[in-house]
Amino acid sequence: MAKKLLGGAIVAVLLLYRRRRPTVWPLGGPITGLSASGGGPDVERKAVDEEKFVTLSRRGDVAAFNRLVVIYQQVVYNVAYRMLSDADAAADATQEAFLTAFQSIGQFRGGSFRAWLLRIATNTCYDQLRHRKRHPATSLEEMTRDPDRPMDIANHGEGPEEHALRREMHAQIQQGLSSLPDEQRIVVILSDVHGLSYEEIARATGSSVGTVKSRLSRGRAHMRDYLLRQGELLPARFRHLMERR
Amino acid sequence: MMGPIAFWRRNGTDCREVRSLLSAYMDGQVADSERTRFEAHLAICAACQKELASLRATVALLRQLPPLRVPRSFAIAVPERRVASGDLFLYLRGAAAAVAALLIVMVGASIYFEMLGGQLRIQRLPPPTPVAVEKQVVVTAVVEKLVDMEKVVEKPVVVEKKVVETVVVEKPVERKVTVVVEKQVAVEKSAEVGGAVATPEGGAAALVPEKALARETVAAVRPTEAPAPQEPGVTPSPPLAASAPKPYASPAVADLKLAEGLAPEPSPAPIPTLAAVPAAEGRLAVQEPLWYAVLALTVILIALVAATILVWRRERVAR
Repeated sequence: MAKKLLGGAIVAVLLLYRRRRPTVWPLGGPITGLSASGGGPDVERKAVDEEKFVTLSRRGDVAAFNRLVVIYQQVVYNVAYRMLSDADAAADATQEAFLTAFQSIGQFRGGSFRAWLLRIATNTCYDQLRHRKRHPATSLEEMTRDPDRPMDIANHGEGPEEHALRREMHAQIQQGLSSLPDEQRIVVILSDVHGLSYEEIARATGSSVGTVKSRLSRGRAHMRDYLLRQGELLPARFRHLMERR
Repeated sequence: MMGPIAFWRRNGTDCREVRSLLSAYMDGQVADSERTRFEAHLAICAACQKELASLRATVALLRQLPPLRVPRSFAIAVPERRVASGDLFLYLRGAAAAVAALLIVMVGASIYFEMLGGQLRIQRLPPPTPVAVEKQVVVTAVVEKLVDMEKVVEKPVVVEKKVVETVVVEKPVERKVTVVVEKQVAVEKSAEVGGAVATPEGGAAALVPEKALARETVAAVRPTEAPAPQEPGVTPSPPLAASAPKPYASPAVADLKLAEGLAPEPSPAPIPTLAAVPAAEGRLAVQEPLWYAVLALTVILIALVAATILVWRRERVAR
């Protein structure tokens, strides 16, 4: 009897061990059969791909996670840059956010992966800001006037003068963002620069939709007031609207 | 005269309430019940309209901020130590697989011997023999051997008390299996306690009387009944002495050895019965070491699998 049980246990162990193999085998190996999401308009296929990559990443597949990095590094870096107003700090925060995300992807409980990732990025940015407050090396002013500001992606064949003006205006908007309190800034960036929904912003900032609403309302008003004060570089239509107020 | 616009303008609470909703209204996040009231106020309040327009312009400016080019790829590099860990993982997995294979072989062998071995033994059992003959043989053999021992060794073992009992047990399952239980108490001379071990046989006889007797019993059979006598005491371990008395030795082997030693034996009846003694007792016992090995292998396998999983998990965390 005991021997039969023993034999059964051994068989069970062997079967289990055999079953493990397919999950263990693709360690770090290149993924085949998954096309790189080449920015096609097929949103549904993208979502399916994302789910696959997330599942594989949970099992420790670095290659699959790096596919997710390729998909989201743009938005994470941009959010970090708008939050920190510094290219190097934004790059550091982005890298750190992705590393943290990979290490804690087991805690991802479904839903919007972008919101989950942005929450990590937001926290990383907060860490950077806290560190900056404790070690104030350079002022925000200097950083936004950084000559090695990252390149815009959009480039409509405009003249050098127009280009310079546009850059100057963007710098001013960036400075307006920097003048916002941290909690308002992240909400304004996620909503008005990146177009996230209230629900996604609530998830990304770890707050309620109501909080998001009120912070966004105050942040926008704050932003408007800032631009009004420094508005000489703003487009004429905007200035006109402001003056008539 | 105060028109409706002036009235709403003076009514500051309503304007404040509306302005707090402007942002949400732009995003279509105002509830229907509030919206009608909100829009009714907006339609008549120019200040709130301007406020809404300025906010819209602000959002439009923010929206046209271009996405920035990523300065580099933020893909995660594969950690270096993953390779070493992976090797360890592969090694452990291979070892576990090997142990598992060995385990299967052992289990198979155990089951095979237990099932088939039993049948073989039953077949090889000789026909039942008269009990009286058996008893006689045993007793004479013991006596003669003891005499032999005293003569050759010349370090006399004084047998104080000698009891030879023969018990016949009938087992209903097998046709007839006889079990002989022999007991003897041997005491050495007090003066020769230190030097008593002249031969291994003698020493064994002094220390473990029962076992030794069993050994001598079989050994003694040969000079008595075999035609070519050998020096039984001087060569302390003839093949028979080595194989037959061991309680776990398979009777098939014992049979074979006996057949070699006693080739011209005309009536081999009593000797196989003697050999059958350990067989009847140790039938399951023959398989015991195999099962112990299986148990040990199972433990090793579980340890290996656990180690493999641990390494795998650590590797996952490391990356």
